[in-house]
Amino acid sequence: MSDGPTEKALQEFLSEAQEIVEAFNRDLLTLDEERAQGRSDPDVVNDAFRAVHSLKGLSGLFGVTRMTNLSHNLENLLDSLRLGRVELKPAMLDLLFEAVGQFHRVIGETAEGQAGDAQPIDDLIARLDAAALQRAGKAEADPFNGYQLDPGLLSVLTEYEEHRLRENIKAGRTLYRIHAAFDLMTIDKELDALKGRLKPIGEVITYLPSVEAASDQQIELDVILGSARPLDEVTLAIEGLTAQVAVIPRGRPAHVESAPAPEVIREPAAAAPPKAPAPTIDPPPEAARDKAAAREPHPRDLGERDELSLKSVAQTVRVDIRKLDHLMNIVGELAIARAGFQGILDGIKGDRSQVVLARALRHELRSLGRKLDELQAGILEVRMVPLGQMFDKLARVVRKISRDAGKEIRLTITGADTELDKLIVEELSDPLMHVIRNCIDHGIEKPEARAKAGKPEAGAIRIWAEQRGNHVVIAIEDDGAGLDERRLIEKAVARGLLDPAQARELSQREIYNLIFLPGVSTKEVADQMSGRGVGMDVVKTNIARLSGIIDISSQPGQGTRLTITLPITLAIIQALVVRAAGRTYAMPLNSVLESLLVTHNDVVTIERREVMSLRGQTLPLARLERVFALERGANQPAPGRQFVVVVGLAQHRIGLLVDELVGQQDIVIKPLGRALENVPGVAGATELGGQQTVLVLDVAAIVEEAIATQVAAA
Amino acid sequence: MSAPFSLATEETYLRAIDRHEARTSRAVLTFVVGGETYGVDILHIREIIKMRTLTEVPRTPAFVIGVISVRGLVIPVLDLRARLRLEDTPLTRAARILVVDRDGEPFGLLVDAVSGVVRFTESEIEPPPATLNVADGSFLSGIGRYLSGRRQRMVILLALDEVVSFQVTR
Amino acid sequence: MRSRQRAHAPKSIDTVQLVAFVVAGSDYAIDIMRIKEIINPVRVTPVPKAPAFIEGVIELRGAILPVVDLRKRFDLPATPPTRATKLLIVVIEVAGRRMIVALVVDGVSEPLRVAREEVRPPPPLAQGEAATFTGVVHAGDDRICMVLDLDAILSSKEKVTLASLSGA
Repeated sequence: MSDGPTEKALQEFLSEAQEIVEAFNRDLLTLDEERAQGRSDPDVVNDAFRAVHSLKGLSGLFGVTRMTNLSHNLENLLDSLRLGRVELKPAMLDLLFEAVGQFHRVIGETAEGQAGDAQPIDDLIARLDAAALQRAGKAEADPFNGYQLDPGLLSVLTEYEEHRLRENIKAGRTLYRIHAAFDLMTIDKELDALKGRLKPIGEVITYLPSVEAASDQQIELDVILGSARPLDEVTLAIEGLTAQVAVIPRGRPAHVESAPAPEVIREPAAAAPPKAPAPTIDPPPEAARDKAAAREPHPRDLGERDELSLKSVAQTVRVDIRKLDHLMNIVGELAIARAGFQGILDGIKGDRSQVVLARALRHELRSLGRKLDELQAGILEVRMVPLGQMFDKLARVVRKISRDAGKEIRLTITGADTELDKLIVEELSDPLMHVIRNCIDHGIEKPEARAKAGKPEAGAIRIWAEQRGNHVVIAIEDDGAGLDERRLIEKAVARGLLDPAQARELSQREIYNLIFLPGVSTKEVADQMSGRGVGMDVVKTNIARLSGIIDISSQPGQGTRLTITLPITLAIIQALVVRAAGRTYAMPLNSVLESLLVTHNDVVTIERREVMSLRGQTLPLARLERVFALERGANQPAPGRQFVVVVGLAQHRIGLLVDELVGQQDIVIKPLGRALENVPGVAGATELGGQQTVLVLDVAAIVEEAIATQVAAA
Repeated sequence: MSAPFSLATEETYLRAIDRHEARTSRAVLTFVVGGETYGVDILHIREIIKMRTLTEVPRTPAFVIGVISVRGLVIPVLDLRARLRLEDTPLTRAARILVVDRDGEPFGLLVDAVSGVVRFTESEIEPPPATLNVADGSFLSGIGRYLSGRRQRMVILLALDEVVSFQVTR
Repeated sequence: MRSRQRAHAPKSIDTVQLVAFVVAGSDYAIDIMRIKEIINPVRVTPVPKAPAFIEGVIELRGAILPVVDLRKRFDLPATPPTRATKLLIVVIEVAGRRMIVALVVDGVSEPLRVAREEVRPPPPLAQGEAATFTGVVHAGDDRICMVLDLDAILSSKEKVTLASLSGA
């Protein structure tokens, strides 16, 4: 299987890109016209923004980097336009029209398979960035109109928040500071409730964590509200909530401090081109940082996102995710119906009397297929939420735990705007919370020990996330003591999970991964925070349930890094359809590394285990029919040539022997119901059209089993 | 002469009985498995479908004969004969899959044939006898007797919860 | 207790099945086919301005039935209800309509299966009520049951009144 898109898919993408660019061009023409008439329709700007956004996404998928980069920067400029940060001037329109020309050029060159010149695009990008930085605001003598705001407050406001603050002051509204306490567990809901109360009477400009919390279970926030209403109305609005309101007086600093510990540094996400190299622990190179800063000039991009959604509340709708699941199911069913039509088409293909019909049918099917793909992509996009909100929660937990543990932690979060399916994000928060606890409790040493080891007293925890193709990688790194290999082995041996002879055979990586075995990571003595009997094995199980892969690496004395790789969505996945012993199965493509055709001669048996040699490495093999104890009927003899599907779980690779590769297909995984949800090796089922229901393999479980039996046999 | 009530004719009287029965009696779907007649409260039946190709699921108890897709849901199908530990008899064209509902979770039950619907009032249902030619009495919730023509017939009422509870261990 | 008939066909055309019951110490019988069910007494709701032959009404599973006290019909003294007192729920044809009526009786004794020729003409003794009885049967123990003609226990005028109350 090749990594790149098929020629057909690429052509389809290009024609789609063409359409989008044309629509974008039309939008620009409209903008130009309106500008001449001295008006501006925000919907047109939004349309243009969306067009460029789709181009960015599509071109990213197909690796057309020049288009991705250009649309990315265009998107920034249009975003600024949308937010009123910059003014639409004729010179800027010229730039935008120039972009249309460049898009056409890139599309043409890509269609002809030419690499093309990146220079004109880079030049244009530089000019676009410069344009995006030209502020609309004129310098004002006193932007804050007599309000002396705490510089500490100003430094934590996003550009948008600051902008709103100025706007509120300019409009002569009073600023209120509302101090509210929230339960740690229900803060999201309570905060929404508070915002809901305040919305009718004013504008919530920002909310910041307060210095001191009354209890461990509570978090206190300072909400800055701009309102034209008198104090008593504001007081009335928050009646019944645990909140106090005060007017921020003019001519005095608004006393709002941000929490001193831990120091949360929000790095803007590094601009991630579609095939970004694996990130290192080092900060992003200056160039990338600069570019990112230009794109998102404010450290708290998420806060701004919240504000944005507040601002455009009239255009957003809250949707129950189950409704989206339902829609996705329907799309799946439509795809099946489409496959049915394809079957009819195949049936009449050879029939000369039906040539005209067949052609018409093929044409309609193609356009139906494209629309279905769009629909599917649209629904998937709706399901996507940024990880930021969850990271915020983690930051709060870090703050609380570190204080309890008497350790100072410097937390750095990167890539908060990385998006994942909402369901996955929800399921992720508990496992991550646990990992963070482990980090602070066991990873980061006490300040004295750190000082002795020559490390800064404050421990560093870095959480970063980034998208890689159809996956999102989330990593949690600490600069603590690292994993103790000897202890891990001792524990695993003591628990009977490993015998001492085996232990000597393990690679360092395998030793670190022992932490995911049940009972190895749990402490003997339960403590308040992490000793809840929940170990890393549970974390792993939870991640596996999301089709995710977890891996751990460590440097003694330097720290530990835990990486979690997750599919962007569980709703629809690409699958490889295979056959073994007369049965058909689907394998999620994200776990398939490659597939090979083999003959009997390629398979050798070493110590009763079947293996093959792959590029100089020994690849353990597992026959799917044996894994599942499938009986081969008389009419299903094992073919002389079989296929090996190489699958991986973390660093482990095994080859799964199957009879036949049927092809690739987008599938919707459906659960087998509560009764069968625990069948090992089976993740669910899917329909392949023609009423054919096939099982979807849980590749991670199969690999794990294969490894376990290998270890047992060794 | 008008009255604040209207006296019953035979017709309204009979209709009142029907309504009452509908309220107080249980409609039971009866079906044949291994020559015996069994019944399940009709409230638990989502639909009855013809036998179709099953997708077998490895590593499940033998009575789980596979899964099927029904209206977009994938549901497990249990062979009721195997589940009740009855002798294996060949399936005929009369075989049906009852799609039953247990706490919102659908299951398919493969039966030899569907017989019909019988209404029982509570007093017509006896508790299951201690000994019956089914190995595991926990699958039964009672015995219903009714007249069919002039013959006394017996329906073994299944404890659906028990029938569809089973463990797939890792 | 309700014991609803489950459509039993009579054994042969030459036998009649009767149900014997007691009213003020005398034995009577009616054709089993006219009885819908036999129930224990339930509360009778008096109906203001109701015709005299109706004691009141009862509600049975949502249906309203008139109650006719056979003792009054036969000009016999009413006795307080006992544990044996029953209500026979019967069908009476009035003005072309099949109405359901509850008859108060002092007790139900037994079902009788007799050959048609065993139903004898009523004795001249019951002259005054001749119209009401179709015959007499022996019920063992030398008891004699008078077979009641249900369609004759109400006068034509009463029947019209009853039918007018059926609403339908």
